[in-house]
Amino acid sequence: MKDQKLIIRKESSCFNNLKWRIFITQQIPHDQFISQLITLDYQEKIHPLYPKIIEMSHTEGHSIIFVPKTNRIQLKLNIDLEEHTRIEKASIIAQDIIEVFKTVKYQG
Amino acid sequence: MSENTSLPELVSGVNGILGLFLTAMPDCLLYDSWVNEDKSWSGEEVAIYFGDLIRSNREGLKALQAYSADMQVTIESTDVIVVLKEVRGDFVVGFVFDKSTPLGMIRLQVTKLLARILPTLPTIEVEKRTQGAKIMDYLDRYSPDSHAVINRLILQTGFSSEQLKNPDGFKQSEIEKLETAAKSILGVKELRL
Amino acid sequence: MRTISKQTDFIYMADTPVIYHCHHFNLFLDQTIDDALGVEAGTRLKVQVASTTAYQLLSNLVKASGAETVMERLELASTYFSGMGHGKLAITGNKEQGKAEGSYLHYGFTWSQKYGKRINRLNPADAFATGFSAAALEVAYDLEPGSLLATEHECIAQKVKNCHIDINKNPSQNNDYNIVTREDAEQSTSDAIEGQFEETVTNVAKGLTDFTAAVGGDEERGIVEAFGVYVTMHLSGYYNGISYQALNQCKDNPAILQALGELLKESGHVCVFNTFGGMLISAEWEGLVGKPTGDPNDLIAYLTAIGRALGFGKWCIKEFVAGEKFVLETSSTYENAYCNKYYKNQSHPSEYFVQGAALAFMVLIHKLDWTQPIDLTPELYDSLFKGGLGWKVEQTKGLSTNDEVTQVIVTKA
Repeated sequence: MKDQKLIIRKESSCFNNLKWRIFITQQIPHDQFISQLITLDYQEKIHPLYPKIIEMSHTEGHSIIFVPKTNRIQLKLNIDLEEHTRIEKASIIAQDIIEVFKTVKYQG
Repeated sequence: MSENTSLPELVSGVNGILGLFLTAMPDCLLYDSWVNEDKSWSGEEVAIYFGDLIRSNREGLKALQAYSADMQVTIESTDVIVVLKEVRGDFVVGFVFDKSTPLGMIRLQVTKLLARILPTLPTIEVEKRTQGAKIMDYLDRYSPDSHAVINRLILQTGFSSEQLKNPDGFKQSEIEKLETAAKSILGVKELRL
Repeated sequence: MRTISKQTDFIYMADTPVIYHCHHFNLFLDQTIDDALGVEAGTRLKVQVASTTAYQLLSNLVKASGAETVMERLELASTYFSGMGHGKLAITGNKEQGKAEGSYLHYGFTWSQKYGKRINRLNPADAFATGFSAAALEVAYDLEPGSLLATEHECIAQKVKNCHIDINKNPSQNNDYNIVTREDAEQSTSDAIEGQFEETVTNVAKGLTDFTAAVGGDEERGIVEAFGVYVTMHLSGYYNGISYQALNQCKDNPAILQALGELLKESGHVCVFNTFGGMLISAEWEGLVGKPTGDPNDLIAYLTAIGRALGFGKWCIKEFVAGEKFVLETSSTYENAYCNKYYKNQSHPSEYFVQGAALAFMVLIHKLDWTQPIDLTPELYDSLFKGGLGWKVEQTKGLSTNDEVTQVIVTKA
C-alpha cells in the first residue's frame, strides 16, 4: 500500500486548539472511511447533513467529521482535554488515522 | 568594535539566533532589530511587549523583595528561547534563539553580544509624553477589540472622537476620567504605564 | 416548536421571535450597552429585557406543551434554555424567592474563553440568564411579569467555577411588558421581494435552515459549537429591547448617540466576520454547498442566504457589481419588528445591524483570498475592519421610517 502524506493543521475556530484538519491526499471511499474508523473504536453518529457529512465519535470523546465530496477530514477534540495537551493529542489521533488508512484500497 | 557595526554583522556566526531586538525605554519603542529571513516577526510589536515584560518582571521581583538591577528574563516556549536583558536602564535587549540551542551556549552568546552592543547604544533623551497619550497607547496595545476602543471611550467618557485622537490636550480632570474608563475596559485596578 | 415564516423568513420558537447569533456578537452587544449606560444601569436594562422576553417565550412554551405543575414548567425552562445553546441552568424556588445555578452559561463561559486570558472581568456577564431565571419562576407560579428580580452574584467570567443567581421579590414592580408577538413581527413587514441570484439564495438558505433545525445545545453542557463559534438561538426581543431602549436613553446627547449607533453597526461587522465567515470556511458548508471559489457573485449570494437562514429577514440582492456596489433590500428586518411597535415614525432609518452586515459583506468578498486557507483571527479582523475599510454604507430607506423596504447601499469609500 502507498504511504499517505499526512498534514495536520489547526482549524480556524475560537475553540483553543480543539479543531484540527487532517489532510490525506488520496480520495477516501465513503464506506471505507466508516469501516476503518470503526476498527479504531469510533461509532457512527447521524450528522444532520448525512450523507453529505459523515460523523464518527470516539469513546474518548473526540470526533471526526468527513466530507466525502471534498475529502475534508476534521478532528474535534474532547473539550475536557486540558489545553496544553491538545496539540499532542491531535497528533496522536491523526497518526492513528493515517496508520489505519494505509490498509484502504483507494480509487485511481 | 566599531560603533557602526550593524546588527547583521554582530549576529553573523552566532549559532541558533533567530532575532535580536533593541527596545528603547521607558516607551518600549523599537530602536533597531534583526530577524532571521525565515521569520515574519514585526519588530515594533515585539519591542513593545519585550519592554512591558521587563517592566512587569521588575515589579514582580520587587514584590518578592528580590529585585536586582542586574536581572535577566529567560522564556522557554515550544519553538524558541527568549532572553531579555535590561541595560543601562534605558534599553532592553531581546535575544530569540531556536529551542534546540543549548542554554549554556545561549548564555555565553548573550554575554558576548551584549558586550559588543552596549558601546553602540546612543544616549536617549526621553521626550516627555503626556499622560493622555500614554493611556491611549496602552489601550491600543492591550484592550481587546481595539477596533472599537475610540467609540467605547466616547460612550464611557463623553469625550469627542477628535479629543481622543489628540490626547495631549486633556486637562487633569479629563485624564482622570480617561483613566477610569481605561481601567474599566481592561478590568484592572491600576494602569501600569 | 420552531417554525419559519415563508413571507418574512423570520424564525419563531413557540410563536416567539428568535434569531441565531454567535458569542462574538452577543458579547459585543452586551458590552456596548454597558459602555453606553454604565455597568449598573446597563445590567439593570439587560436583566429587565431578558426577563420580559423570556416570560413571553416561556408562557408560549407552557401553553404549547401543556406543562401544568411548577416542576414541569421549571424543567421546560431549563430544557429550552440549554436547547437554545445558553448553557445549563437549574432553577429552584417559590413564589417569593429562589435561586439558579448555572454552568457553561453562554455569556460568562464564552467571555472567559475569548477574553479571560487577557483581561479580568469586574462584573458578572450573564444578564440574559439572570433575567431568564426570574421569568422561569414567574411563569412556573403564574405570577405577573416583573414580579421577581434576579441578580447574578458569581460568574465563571470572574474565575469561579459556576454561576450563582439569586431571585427575590421585585421591590419596584416593573409593568413594562414590551414584547413583539408573531403577529406584530409579521405585520411590520411589506410584500416580499426578490433579487439577483434569487435561486441560489433561496436554495442555500433552505439547506441551511434545514441544518439548523437539528442544531441544539449538547446534552452535557447546553452549548452549541458550530462553524468555529458558539451559536445561540436567541430572543430577537432581547437584542432589540436593549439596543433601542439604550438608543432612546441616549437620544439627548448627539455625540453619544452617534457612537452608540456606530458600535451597533459594528456589531454587524463582528457577526458577519465571525459567524458568516465561519460558516463559509466550515466543513458543514463544504458538505452542504461546496468550497467557496472566491467568485464574488457566488459569495454575495451565499452571504445573503446565511442572513435569511439565521432569521434576520428576507434579505435580497437588489444590485451587485463586484468591486463597485452592493444594494441590499429587504421587506423584513428583525430590528424593524420592534421599532414598528415601540418607536414608530423614526426621523432616520436605524436598522444598524443590517447596515453593518452589508458593509462587512463587501469587505469579506473583496479583501479576502478565498482560494487560500483563511484563519478568522482577531488580528485578521483588525486588519480588515480597523482603520480605512475601503467601503462605506448608507441606509437610504427603512421599514423603520415607513418606507416600503429597507435598503442599504454599499459603495467604495
